Amino acid sequence: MEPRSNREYWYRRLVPWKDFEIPMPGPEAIAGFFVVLAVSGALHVFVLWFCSLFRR
Amino acid sequence: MLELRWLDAVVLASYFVLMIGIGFVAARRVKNMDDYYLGGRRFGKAMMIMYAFGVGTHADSAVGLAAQTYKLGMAGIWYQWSQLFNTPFYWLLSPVFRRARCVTTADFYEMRYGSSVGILYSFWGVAINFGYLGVTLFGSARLIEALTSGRVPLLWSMVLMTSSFLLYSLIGGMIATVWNEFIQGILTLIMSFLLLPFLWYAVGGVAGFQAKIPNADALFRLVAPGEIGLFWIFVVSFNQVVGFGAQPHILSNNAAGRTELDNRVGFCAGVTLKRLCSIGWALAGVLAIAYYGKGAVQPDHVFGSLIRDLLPAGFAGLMIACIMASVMDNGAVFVLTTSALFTRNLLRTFRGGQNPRLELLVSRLFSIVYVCGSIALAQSFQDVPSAIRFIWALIPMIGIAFWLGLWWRRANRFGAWASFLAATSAWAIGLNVFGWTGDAGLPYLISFYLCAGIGAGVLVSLLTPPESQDRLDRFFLTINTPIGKEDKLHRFEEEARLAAGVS
Repeated sequence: MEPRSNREYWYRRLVPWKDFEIPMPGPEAIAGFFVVLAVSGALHVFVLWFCSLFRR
Repeated sequence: MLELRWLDAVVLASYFVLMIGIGFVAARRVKNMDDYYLGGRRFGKAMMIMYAFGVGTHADSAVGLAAQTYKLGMAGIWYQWSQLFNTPFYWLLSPVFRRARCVTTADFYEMRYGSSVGILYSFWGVAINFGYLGVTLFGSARLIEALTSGRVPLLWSMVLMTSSFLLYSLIGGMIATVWNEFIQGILTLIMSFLLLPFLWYAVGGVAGFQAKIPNADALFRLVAPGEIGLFWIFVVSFNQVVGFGAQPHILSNNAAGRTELDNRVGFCAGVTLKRLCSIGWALAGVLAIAYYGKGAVQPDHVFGSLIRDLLPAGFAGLMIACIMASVMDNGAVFVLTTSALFTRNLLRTFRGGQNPRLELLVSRLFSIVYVCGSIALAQSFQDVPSAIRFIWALIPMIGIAFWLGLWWRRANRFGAWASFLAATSAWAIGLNVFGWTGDAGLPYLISFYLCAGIGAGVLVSLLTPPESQDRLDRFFLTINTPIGKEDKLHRFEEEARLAAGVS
């Protein structure tokens, strides 16, 4: 399709999205991602709680 | 000063004999370069967890973090926690390193961009490892200096620490290193928490701390206005992601396991274990404010002084063994990855051809040069936090090309060079022209060099010819093909040969 404006022409020329190679994660990747995120979040919450003990 | 009794000396001596003995046993299993650098890719989850934990955890982490929390309060914990919320992304990325089927990270860059970028990475990777070992040695030597009230000079403790790990890593390669990581990881865990019950008792717990410190509220906030704020945390975290894949040891951290799951679990659990230890180090630094008073001790000496003043004399041998352990496991990995870069990627390129016997010999000789250079670099550092900031800036310069190449087919070798040159120039300008130094200037410095590097990488890639279709197809097929499914790769090679008209 022809670009409708100069801006679109340069956008297409500078940002050719079709060249991106971001792979689709599998079930193991998705499950693990959320488990690791939950563990990291839990550690952070623990430290916030611990700090709150010291505040007056 | 800590007194070394005969029992401490026996513990220390037994420990060193055990480490070196492991090196000799492991040496019998080293049959080729893959065994030497990646342990034959045969380690299970437990080994990989301790390996990742051991590589990521060293005495300078404890010393640097305790120094920062002693200065700034709990907000200093971000010196170690800046990667906390990056860890899930490492879970996603981990298989790439195994699937790449590379021995060094420079092989990875070469596969994606060609030999010029492979060589660029080899030089920079060696420089990064000089920095890493320098920082590690400096932090640990500072700790020993504090422990012994300055009676063991910095240089001597560095020389003592390096001789041992050099010996066992040179003999047994990665197999000896990972086996030792297991033992040393456990000792490092002990080091992280041994001090806390004594310190807690000495300070008088929460009530004692609050009685001694009038502004306890400010010290237990996770941000320190003007120093470590939300902008700092976000930018430093992003900086760590950019640099992640470009660290020379990360490839072996994620490729030495038996399966992809072993690598993923090993790496993420090891890194998370380190975050857990960080809580202990950070707390030690803050509680030290109540124990010593703010500014009464040189920040780099806080962790060591606490050990010296609080632990009973019988713990001296164990504590020094823990410190040695944390340096040695890192030193061994750095020695191996640096010598791999030097021999496989630089020597092989400039000399031409392969000669495994010569490469193994040169790799062992270069390790000695590397260790001496790192000790020299360590002498130039002023304090541990500034040394850590130095290494943070060093890695992402080449990490930008890693991400561009991994996600964007259009990225090419000219863009990779441009991103590196622009980022390093911007870093130098930020430091010397704009004066962005210390924690206050750090987020501006990082934003500046990352924007310059990414911008230059994208722009130059778009304005110059792309990499060949064949190279790109081969690269992306390789990193998307799990180990054990090589038939896909063989089919590709076959088709490429047919297309080229070779029977």
